[in-house]
Amino acid sequence: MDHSKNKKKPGFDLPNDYFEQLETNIELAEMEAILPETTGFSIPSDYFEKFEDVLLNTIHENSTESKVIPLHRKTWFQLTIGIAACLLIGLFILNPSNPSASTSFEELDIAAYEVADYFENNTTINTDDVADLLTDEEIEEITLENDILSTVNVEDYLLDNLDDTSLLIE
Amino acid sequence: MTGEKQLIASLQSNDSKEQAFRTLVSEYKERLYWHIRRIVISHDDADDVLQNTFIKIFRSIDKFKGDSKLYTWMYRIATNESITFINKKAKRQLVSTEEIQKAAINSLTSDVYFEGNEAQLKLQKAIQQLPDRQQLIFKMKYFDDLTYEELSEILETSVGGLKSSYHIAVKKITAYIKNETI
Repeated sequence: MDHSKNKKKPGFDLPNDYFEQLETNIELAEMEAILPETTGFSIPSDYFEKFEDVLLNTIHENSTESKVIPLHRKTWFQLTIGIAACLLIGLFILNPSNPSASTSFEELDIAAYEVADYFENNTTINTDDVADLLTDEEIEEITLENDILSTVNVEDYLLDNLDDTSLLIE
Repeated sequence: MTGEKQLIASLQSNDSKEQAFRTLVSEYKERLYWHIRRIVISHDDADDVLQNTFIKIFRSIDKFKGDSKLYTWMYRIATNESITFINKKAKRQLVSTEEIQKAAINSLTSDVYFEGNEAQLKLQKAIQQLPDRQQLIFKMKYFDDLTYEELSEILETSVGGLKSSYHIAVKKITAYIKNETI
């Protein structure tokens, strides 16, 4: 009787690279054996019991804070602020009480920075939106005069704020 | 409908979202907590990140398409939130992320929520020596006991690459511990 014909596969299967990985896996197991199994971290005794309630309170609080403000009310409020900001800039630039006085860079920077910051971070209104609300005459009044900023002020500003002075043309 | 699909359907329905979310949190909070904790080390930081993770899950669950398992998706969010947390902390303090991690490990000895022994402390220091990616792979494979296939789905890296990284990480850690012991 030819028993070799009766030798069937046992029906077991192996991962494709089992024998190739075997040596690596044994090496890994030996190294892992010297490592602690846990981290030693602990938690407050009732932490997980309270967690869900704390989390859902936080979610509800966050959703309450982000109430929708009616668009028309917000737009009108922002337009009002924008107009006031433009008039403020105009006052600083024109300085009607003393038209011949020049505005220093420091004064101009403070006002301009605050207004620019407001426009960047607190409103979606751009200058086009504000300009739409002003007449042509009003816009013409808000113009920079050529001699408002003296040469001395320009040079001082550049020297204070320019990192690479080699860029200055002598 | 399988259990997971049913849960997802409930989470994506306005009527049952909150109740389904409570179920989700109840089931996964511990696993996600410990995963986050192993990355950020401190309990208080882990608490912050876990909250941020679940808030993100709550807000994004409507966009979950089921391309991956729910747990894999959540795990990925938790991992990203942990890394973002460390990066932000480093930026605020004007230091590197390595310095943030080093400081966290060094403060373990005085941390009320660390009850480990010297060997466990040494292990944390050994892990901290690894590059960020290797640290993550080691922690997720060794402590979270994820399979390479699960890791591959979460980290979007090949199984072969993960196996190499893990092997190298274990080698470096054991070498560090042996050197420290001498």
